[in-house]
Amino acid sequence: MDKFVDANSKNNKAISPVHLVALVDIGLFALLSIRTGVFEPFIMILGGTKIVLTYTMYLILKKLKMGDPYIALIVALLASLGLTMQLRLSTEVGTKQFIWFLLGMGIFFVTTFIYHYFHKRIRAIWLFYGLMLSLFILTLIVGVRINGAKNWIIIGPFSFQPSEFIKILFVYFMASFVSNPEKLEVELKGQKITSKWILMGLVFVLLGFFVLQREFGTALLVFMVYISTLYVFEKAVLFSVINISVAGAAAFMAIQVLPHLQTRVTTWLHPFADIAGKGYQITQSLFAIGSGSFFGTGVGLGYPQFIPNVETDFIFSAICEEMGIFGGIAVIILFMLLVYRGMKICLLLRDPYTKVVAFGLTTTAGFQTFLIIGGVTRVVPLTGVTLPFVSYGGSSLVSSFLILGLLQALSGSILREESFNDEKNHNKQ
Amino acid sequence: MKKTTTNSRILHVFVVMSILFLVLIGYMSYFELRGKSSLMSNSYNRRLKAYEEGIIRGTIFDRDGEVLAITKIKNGVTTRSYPYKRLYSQVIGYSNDMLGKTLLEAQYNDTLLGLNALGVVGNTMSLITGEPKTGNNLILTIDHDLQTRARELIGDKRGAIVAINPKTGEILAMVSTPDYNPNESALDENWDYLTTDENSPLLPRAVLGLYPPGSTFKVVTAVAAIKKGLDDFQVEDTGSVVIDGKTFTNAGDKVYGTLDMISAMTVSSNVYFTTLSEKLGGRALVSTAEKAGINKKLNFDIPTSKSKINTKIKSDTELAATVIGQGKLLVTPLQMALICAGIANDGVIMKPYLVKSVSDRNGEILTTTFTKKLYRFTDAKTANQVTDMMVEVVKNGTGKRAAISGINVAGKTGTAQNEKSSQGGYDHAWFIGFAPADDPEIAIAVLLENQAEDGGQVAAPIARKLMNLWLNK
Repeated sequence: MDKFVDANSKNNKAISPVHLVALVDIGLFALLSIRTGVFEPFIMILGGTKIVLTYTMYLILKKLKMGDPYIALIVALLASLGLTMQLRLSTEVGTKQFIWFLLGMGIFFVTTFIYHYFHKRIRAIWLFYGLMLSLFILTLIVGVRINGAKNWIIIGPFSFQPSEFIKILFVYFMASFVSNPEKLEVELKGQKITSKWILMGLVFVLLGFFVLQREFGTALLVFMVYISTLYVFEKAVLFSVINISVAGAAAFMAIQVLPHLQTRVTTWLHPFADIAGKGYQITQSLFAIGSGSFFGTGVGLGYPQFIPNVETDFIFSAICEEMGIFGGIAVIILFMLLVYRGMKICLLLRDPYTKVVAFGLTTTAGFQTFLIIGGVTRVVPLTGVTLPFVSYGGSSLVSSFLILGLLQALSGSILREESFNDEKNHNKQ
Repeated sequence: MKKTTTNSRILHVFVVMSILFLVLIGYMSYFELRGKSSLMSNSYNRRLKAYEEGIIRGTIFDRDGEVLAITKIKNGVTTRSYPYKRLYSQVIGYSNDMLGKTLLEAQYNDTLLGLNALGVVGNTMSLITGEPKTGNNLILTIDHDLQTRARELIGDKRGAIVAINPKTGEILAMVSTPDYNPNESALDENWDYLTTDENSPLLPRAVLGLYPPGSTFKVVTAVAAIKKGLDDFQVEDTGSVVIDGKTFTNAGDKVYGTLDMISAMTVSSNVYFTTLSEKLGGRALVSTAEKAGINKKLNFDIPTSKSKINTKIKSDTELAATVIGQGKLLVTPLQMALICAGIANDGVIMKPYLVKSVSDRNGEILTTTFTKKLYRFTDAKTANQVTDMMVEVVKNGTGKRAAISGINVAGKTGTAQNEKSSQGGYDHAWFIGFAPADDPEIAIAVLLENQAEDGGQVAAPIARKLMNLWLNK
């Protein structure tokens, strides 16, 4: 039984969505290859590779019944928009992004195939926490400051952002807690301290590390995932409220004492007050979105390069400028669909551990999308997280594809395993 | 049991996330429709300049095709050139790389650059043909001859002249002085002086200047009085009247004897109208003034100030001052031209406009502005009654100097006290009028700041010369 294909799909004559993805790819890459007036075959080669890869991926997932066939297609479409925008901004950066994309696809497949061998073996809450802490400490020791935040590790020619992986580890940390909360119980002077208070302490230490590295966006993201998980799986309303209050008070104090955090808030509230300085980036983003209007200037006809860091944090503004806010809304709807499919997987899973993992990964991707799109449109303060699958950057792309691979595995092999076990149990009785 | 609640809570989170995404979509739509309008013209929006590069800005013509503003290319450098220098500076404004854009150049920037829907076809064509992109042209309602003459007549006085076709709302001439040379080198050179001089030479007085209307406002008072059935009101004019403790006198302390409304208008008796004000009441006056557009924001092709009347007139003294155009009452010269045009056009004020049509680079007309009713100021009968009074003003009264032989001219003079005159300076001189009275083709408002002579002496002759020129064209 395949839970992810509609019952009537056997008779469904509608065009398979994979063809639609290919059609979008043909349009985007063809347009891109002639945008300068001279035909660039290189772009077409990249486009062709992308299409072949999309079909291969889809057929493998479908034939081998590896779970939800749509999440990877949604991502394929997002990646198309990301790749074409990156190539349009700069062929060099776009090509690098393409290589990262290929690596991401590789990681996606490897994860999808081998994940079920591991998921039962490693469920050690202290291991996950230890890994997160070591990544933090490693960053603090050998980390490099890029754009004011000391959150990069450079090894030879490669640089990566540990926080992109800490957020995934955090999901596993939460899953371990929900399935085995007793492991956090500590006895202090004969007094038992309830595991959730230990959890709260550990989480706030993590948040402190994020703030130390000026990763306010990731801190907020992790906190949102934390609270959502508490709400769904712990049903501890009062405890959630306490957490939110403490975090709110801490954030309020942090804003008073940390000037760079203060700056984020003031530029959010009054972006035009210091338009030549601190408000420059966000106002340029607004100009870009505004000048694109509903239908956009057309790919290659706008000026997204006027926005500093357009290829990472502000890629969404570039999409809005050249593809219009209809293009931007399409991106948002794709993420909504992705979250919907993720939640569907989460609903089908029964083992609390895997359920929390699916839930955490989905909310991580979803909230991260909200934070960055809300940031560049000035709905919320700009916190500098990346737009999954679209923003430029190896760490971001690889961690996004890792999340996709994990979700894919959960929807395929893991779900099958669960149903199989259920049936077995049922037969025994 | 536990599982269902977990799953329903998962759905709660999904709903919350969906709402967050919908908020983003909603905000972005709002931003495109409303939010962005005020910020896109910010000078830090480098796109504006980037778009302009390589686009040849459209030409601005007068109603007969006279070039008023044109972009010239010399050695690959484009400059905006205004062949008549200061003549159109207070209508067209300037387009300057460093100093930005004002007036029509600013308001019609997208049209002149071909950036709005009208320009899409042409610019898409030039993408294919490789020709330089060209914006669209503006054809104004202004008549170059009339504008030139108006500027000559006002000379070095400070003030404004607005000439309008009362039947259509087309602005035929609009002059504000002092003015300036908007050409790039002159503008850059004089910028410090232009921005700091106490006479505000950058201010388009015709649309942004606010002045007490003086006796020209008696036209509005008359409309209000007729509406209230006070047509036959008579006063024994003894040269002065005391209202609530304050004495009002006629100009030059003249005594006119028995006056009805028409003779009172002819001689511009303050005694008559201030006495009338007690019968009229503040509410009737304010509502008539508002019907003529006072206290309302006027959407025009260039920015305008809102003319203002105090809606809560407190005392009889204040009301008496207001009916003769003093008190808490300020109007733009354009507003007075509209009131005059409303009387001329059977009580209907047409929407004023400066841009007659937009054409593409080949001279093909793309859009034409439709004439539109703006306000129903009063009914035709009242308008004709007031016209008769204004004809008498020019025939036998204070406006004799506006008379043209063989043509019925209607008019009203005004001499308005202001801040400067109360400190020993001169009053403002006003004249509003239209001709021919029975089939008006032109309505004019003339305002001259701080003149030694009154409106009938200095402002009326200017109106006469302009009406004469227009009617003989």
